Amino acid sequence: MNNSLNLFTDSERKYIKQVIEALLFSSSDPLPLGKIREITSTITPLTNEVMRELLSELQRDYMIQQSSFKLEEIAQGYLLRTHEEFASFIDQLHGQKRGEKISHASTEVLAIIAYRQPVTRPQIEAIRGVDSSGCVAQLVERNLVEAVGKLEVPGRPTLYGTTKEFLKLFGLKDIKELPSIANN
Amino acid sequence: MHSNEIFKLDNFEGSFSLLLKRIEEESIEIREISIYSLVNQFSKKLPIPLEVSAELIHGIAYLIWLKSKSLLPKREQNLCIEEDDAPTIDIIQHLLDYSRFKEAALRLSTRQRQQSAHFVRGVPQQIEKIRPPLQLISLEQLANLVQDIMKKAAPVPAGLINEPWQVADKIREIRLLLKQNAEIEFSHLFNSEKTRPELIVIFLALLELMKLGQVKVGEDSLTKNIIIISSIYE
Repeated sequence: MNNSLNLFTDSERKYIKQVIEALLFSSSDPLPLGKIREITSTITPLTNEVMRELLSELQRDYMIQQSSFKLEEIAQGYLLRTHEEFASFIDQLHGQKRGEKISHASTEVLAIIAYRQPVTRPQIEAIRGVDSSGCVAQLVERNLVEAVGKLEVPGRPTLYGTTKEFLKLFGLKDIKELPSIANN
Repeated sequence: MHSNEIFKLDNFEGSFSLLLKRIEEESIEIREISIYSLVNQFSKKLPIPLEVSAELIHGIAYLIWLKSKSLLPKREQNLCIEEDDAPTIDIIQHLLDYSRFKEAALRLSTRQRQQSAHFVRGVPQQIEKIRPPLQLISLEQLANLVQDIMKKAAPVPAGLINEPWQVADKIREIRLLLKQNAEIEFSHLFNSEKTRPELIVIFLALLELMKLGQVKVGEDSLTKNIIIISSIYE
């Protein structure tokens, strides 16, 4: 697995990992692989493969050290996140501000959009049997769904899909990670 | 659906989600369900918490929709006479489809709750809000709205020498409110509890701020309320 072992000395490797760690630390948004590579390439050029190896190593390091956080792949990028077990303490620090809950109806609409995207509002309403425009507007406002195009039929209704924020909020690497629901 | 309110019909007693399940399993025909009875029972249960009542209204509306769908001919009507059973099968399929998404929604909710236990560096994760562009109202519309309020304005208490309201003071007030809150509701500034002279001065202050380009007045596309927001940073 560690076929890049011969490319660097131990201290070089350690240094690059430190730089990657610093970048991850400074970002509260998932960092795409390309972005990290862009910056580390100012030290020495690295292939995507090597980058991924180093990132895996960092991930393992945190687990072995039993750090309070872990390195995860979320929303097509890399991110440091604390373990669940510390949630109550962090809550105490920040006064339990975990963000507003999404309403029951909006979660239903969100599920339909997530699994059937791209999908139009009439198509959503054909499943729920009730008007869903309020829910869609709410989800757009929360930046969880966005317009991704128009369906080429009379009326040209807007097509909706999920956003990066959606992936972040639900801790998904990409939309394919959505747990599958029983197939039609 | 989480509500445990019990409904009673000729051939059924139980929660609403159980009713939907029975229809899915085909042990009850949707034709046999009296929407009237359901609505009656619902209204007798009031008052109940908003979340629960919203769910029940949604559920009953869904049943009405399903029932009406089963009564209307499908648009792509096959001319086969054997298709008599088709509407019923449609309903079951629809219910099954819908319940899959309801289950997915429940799992998403749970997942969101679990994920919120993870924190990233810095400010706690909050669901970012994007304000949809305000539908700005015209000066004429604003003037009309203010005039309407002024008609219902509180009477000036007689026999009291009131301190005249100052435009500069009201400008400062509005600015301070906008600093403390993202937006001000129109009804907060203009309501019938204030006297006519005060309303006029508030209006002048608002106009001045609009002229300076420091505030915007418009209709919130979600709530349809008229609100005032700061536009200094745009």
